[in-house]
Amino acid sequence: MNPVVLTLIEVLIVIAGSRLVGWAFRSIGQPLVIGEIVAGIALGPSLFGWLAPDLAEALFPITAIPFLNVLSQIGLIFFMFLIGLELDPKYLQGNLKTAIVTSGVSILVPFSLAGILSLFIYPIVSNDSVSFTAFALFLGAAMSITAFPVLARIITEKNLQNTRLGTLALTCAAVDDVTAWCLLALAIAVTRTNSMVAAVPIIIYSVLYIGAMLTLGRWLLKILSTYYDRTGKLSQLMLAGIYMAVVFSALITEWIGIHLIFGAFLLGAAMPKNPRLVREIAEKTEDFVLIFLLPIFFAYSGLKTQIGLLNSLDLWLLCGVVLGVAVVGKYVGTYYAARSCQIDKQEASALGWLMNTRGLTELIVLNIGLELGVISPILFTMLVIMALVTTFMTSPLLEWTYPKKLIRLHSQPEPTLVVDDVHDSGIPLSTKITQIDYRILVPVANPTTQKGLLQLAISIAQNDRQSAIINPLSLIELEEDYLFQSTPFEANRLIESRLQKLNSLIDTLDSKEIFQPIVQIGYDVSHKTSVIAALDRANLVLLGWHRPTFTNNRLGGRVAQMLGNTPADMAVFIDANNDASISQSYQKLLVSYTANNHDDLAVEIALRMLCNDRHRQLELIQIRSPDLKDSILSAELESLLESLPTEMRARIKISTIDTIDPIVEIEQISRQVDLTITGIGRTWGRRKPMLDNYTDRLAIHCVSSLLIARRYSEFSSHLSFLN
Amino acid sequence: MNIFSVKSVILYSLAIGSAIGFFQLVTSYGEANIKAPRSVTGNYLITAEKLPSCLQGKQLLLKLQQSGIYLNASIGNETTAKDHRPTFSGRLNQRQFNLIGILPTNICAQLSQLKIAGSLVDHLPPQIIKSNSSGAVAVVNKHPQKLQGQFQIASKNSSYTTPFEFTGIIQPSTQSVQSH
Repeated sequence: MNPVVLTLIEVLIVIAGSRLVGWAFRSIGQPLVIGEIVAGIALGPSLFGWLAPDLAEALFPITAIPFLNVLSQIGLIFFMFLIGLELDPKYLQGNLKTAIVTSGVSILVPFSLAGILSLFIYPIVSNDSVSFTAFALFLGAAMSITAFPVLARIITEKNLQNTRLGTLALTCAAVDDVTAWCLLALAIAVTRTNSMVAAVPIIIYSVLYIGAMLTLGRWLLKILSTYYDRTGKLSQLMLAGIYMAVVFSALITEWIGIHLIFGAFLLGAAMPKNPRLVREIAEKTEDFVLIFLLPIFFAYSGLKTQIGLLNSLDLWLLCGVVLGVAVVGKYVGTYYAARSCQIDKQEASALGWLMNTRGLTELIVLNIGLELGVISPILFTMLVIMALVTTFMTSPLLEWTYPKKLIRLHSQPEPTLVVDDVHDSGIPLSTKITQIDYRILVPVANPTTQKGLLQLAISIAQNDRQSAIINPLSLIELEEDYLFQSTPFEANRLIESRLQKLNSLIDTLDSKEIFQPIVQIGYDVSHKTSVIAALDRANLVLLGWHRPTFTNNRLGGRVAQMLGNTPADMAVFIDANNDASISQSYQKLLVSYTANNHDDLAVEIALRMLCNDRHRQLELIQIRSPDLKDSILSAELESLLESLPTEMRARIKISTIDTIDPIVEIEQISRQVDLTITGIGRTWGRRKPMLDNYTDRLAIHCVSSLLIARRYSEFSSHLSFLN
Repeated sequence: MNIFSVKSVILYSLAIGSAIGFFQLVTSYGEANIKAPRSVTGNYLITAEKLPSCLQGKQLLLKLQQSGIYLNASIGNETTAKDHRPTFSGRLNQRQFNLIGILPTNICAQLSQLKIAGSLVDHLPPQIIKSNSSGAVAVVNKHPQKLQGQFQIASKNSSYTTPFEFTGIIQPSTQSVQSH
């Protein structure tokens, strides 16, 4: 087959596989990049070649690999440029002294352990064409690396970027990143010359080139930055110049004798960190590099990864030893260094797991090692497994050592809102706890259209008998976790911008003081909302109506996911008011009661609203089957109604409709009220569609605004102030 | 403590110095005392006086891939062997080595397994060092690189045949596969 056609077919398979497996890994809470690396391995002899050797041979013949190599090297060069570009000196703001000590030790310990390990494995997995020094240096570099880009995205995803742990981890990783690249450059120089002494000229040339780039190169790039500020846009000519500079710089470092990637990285690192310029370069470059070229690099690596080479127990044990040394070296080194700098145990441990992330950076190092012959195919496979495992374990171990409940939820720090949690040991984590009696969490997808929802939240929350707070929750959903917008500083910019929009909306409302907005990054909005509802100990989650994309169900899509997962009482609001500028006070309330626990919640919400405003009226309609004669109100509800103050009781009208299909009557009555409240239906959650027929039809025919309540907790907390 | 104070700089220098010193110690010891196996990676052109009928007249190429003491190899005809992924595996123990694997069906359809066992000989005339029922191989992997020995083939329905002797000459294009 024509090599170009074959390569294009390979690229098609690679991109499709990479997206598919990447998506699967994202859905289990792992970084996309892990999925893409696994996809690459799966396309190689480890899985595809093992399951269908003839087809794999036909689709990925060894003769076609050089073409993939060229594409993957181009991708790698531009990816390294992007890594350098996002390496911002601002990352060095987080407690530099602790970071220097921690990152230094976190490199020295695994590096030293790798030296000792080399004494044992060099005679087993290397050969006499590789010097011991080069082998030990490469293994040391591979063991001591921390993947800054992957770590930065994990930190953003966990919303840790503004915590002490997050800033410290970012600073450590940035220092580690630079140190590890220098170490790798040294290892390459020694490998190519096969001796430390012969590598000295390469080291000198490299230092001179770095110096030139950070002075002359930076000066020229500053001129470019100034020109960009003046013109306000990045023209194709400017971008062409930047790309040419990337390639030229890569070629220089290759000629010096280190590697192409260093030149590209150096140019990115030397680029002035003009936020707008950096963002525009990154956004224009990253899509093609990350979607098209980088998966080819993963596939190229995967084609060389042969898990089948580990075909005996002793090789798997050796793989375990390599993994153990890598994990112990990085974790223990980081942990004790951090502890020596007075970082508490939990943070030191979390920092250790974060620094253990090796991901894609490790893969770059390993491919260079294999290409130079300093790493044998079996060791390459072991180290790829090590890179995957260490990256895979980061998220769950971080969650285990530093659970989400320790991450402060609120973007506006107030002592009264510190998450009042208690450590397993029984020691309070926060001593500044002020009791908030009632909390409503209001997920706000689009701040410009959710005024009615927040007004309703005020109507439910505001009460002179207990303290209450409303947390408008706005989650910024990033589509990909490897884009520039996922970097911590960029994520902060997006958060700040969203917070401003949210505050602008709050400014248009009465009772601003009751609002405490939460803005966070969230890749899975429904899951994140349920986690925050649990952490926030929300008494009620008030959700806006969301039209599902693919189903006819009124509460389908994301709302259905939240209704199914959120561990708190919920209410879904369907606003009949199309004009957001009109204020709603919800003076006339209607509860349609069909006797189930969700309806009980609907009554409780209505009573709470009734209590909050002396002018509100409530009509409680029992929808009773014609064959029943008694009241269908539950005993608890009857008792509650009887215990209400007379003044409040006087504003409640209870009536009964004896029908099995009350929609026509409710439609008529709803014309005279501001808000109809109902339970989600007794069959909810037991069958699809989510709403039972009655509630679904009510949602269609109800003339007033509608609030559909879903009970979670068996214990009512909405009327506790009446006790 | 300021990060660039004299105390800090001394501390960092001591830490880095001791790590470098330790690494120097390890590498000096390693260079002097730890020996890795001979490099045998390469493509060897196989010739034999007597071969099973399906292999007669074919120029076989043995592509050896080495990971220390672990060997992997593929065998094919001269033009395609380099393009095949390894189907043989074995070990190198001092100078002795063995390989076992499956011949590609396009080489010999009626044969399945091939066993190679032998030893490496450096700068010595090719000789059979190990001689047993499964055959023997002698390899010279420096200049001139040569491989000599025996292999045994088993067909799908029968046990291993009498060993066949062969000679392997390394192909010049692959001599520097792992030397940089």
